[in-house]
Amino acid sequence: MPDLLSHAFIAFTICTLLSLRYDWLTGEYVTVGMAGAFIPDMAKIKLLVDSATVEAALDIPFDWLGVHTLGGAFVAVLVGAVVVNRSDRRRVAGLLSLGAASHLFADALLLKASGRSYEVLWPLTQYHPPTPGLYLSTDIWLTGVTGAIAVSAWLFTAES
Amino acid sequence: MLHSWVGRAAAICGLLAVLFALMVGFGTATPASELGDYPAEDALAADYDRYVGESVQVTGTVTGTEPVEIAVEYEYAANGKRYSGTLAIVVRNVDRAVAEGESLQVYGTLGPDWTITAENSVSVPATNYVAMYLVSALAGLWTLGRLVCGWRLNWQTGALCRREEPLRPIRALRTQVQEVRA
Repeated sequence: MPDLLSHAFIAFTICTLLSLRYDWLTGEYVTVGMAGAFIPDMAKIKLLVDSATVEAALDIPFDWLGVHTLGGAFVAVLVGAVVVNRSDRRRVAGLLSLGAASHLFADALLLKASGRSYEVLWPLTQYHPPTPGLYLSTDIWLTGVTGAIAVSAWLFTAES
Repeated sequence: MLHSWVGRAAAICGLLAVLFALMVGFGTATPASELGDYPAEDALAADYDRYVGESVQVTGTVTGTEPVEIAVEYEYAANGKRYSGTLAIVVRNVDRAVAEGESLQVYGTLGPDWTITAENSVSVPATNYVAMYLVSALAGLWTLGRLVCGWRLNWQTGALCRREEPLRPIRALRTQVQEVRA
């Protein structure tokens, strides 16, 4: 995905449509799903301090992209679940997971020269699943498409 | 146990330690072509000869077209020291027209003397990164704004709680405007 806005739109759309089915899923909870979509891109810290700098400073292997995987995102979701009260914990963990999973899945469809995506299921496996290559990481039109779908979903639920 | 500041802070520190350990573990992973994890920029820079004859995937900026040459940025650490720089790699068998300045991702076989024989390539037009960061920041502000309006911090327990009455700044503003008009 080109930017975080597309990921936020996707999570917003999924959660908004789910609110049709679940009455408890109000706007505040939709926000939690959107926050979940930000989790994998915490790896963008590398733009400020790249992994090699951390490795050199601590003299151990290190890669920020660990959070852009199943295992890393799962632990980050647990942090979110700890921050809220017990009554909200299950819902928040579920919605953060949904948001993070939508992000990891969308990124697994990016076009790559090798036809293979990234180690999305790490640490379970280092396997890079084949990618259908639906879009490039710079396709800005995607932001428009996901945005239009998000607005439609919002209008649809506001009416019903 | 997770109802107080202390309990929450301890749990969060513990989880962040696990997350850090995962990132360290992820950093130890080495390329594994049989799993689709092909050697990339940093691996080539660190130990080029080891991967000669193997399939690799690198991304770089096109600096020449006859023959196609790309500038590939890398950074890696070894023995507590950080190394970074740019590799100049000649790409043979590129089956598409490429222009200088665009970004090219190449998958192919690594040859000696800094060459790759391409099997497939993907070209990406030069990107406006500033615009992309601005759009991403917009997403952050949108979500943060929604979070502040719907949730609040309970200072006694350190918990994030749903507001019983969510803040509605837009609706409030609209009402005010209507009142002024009336």
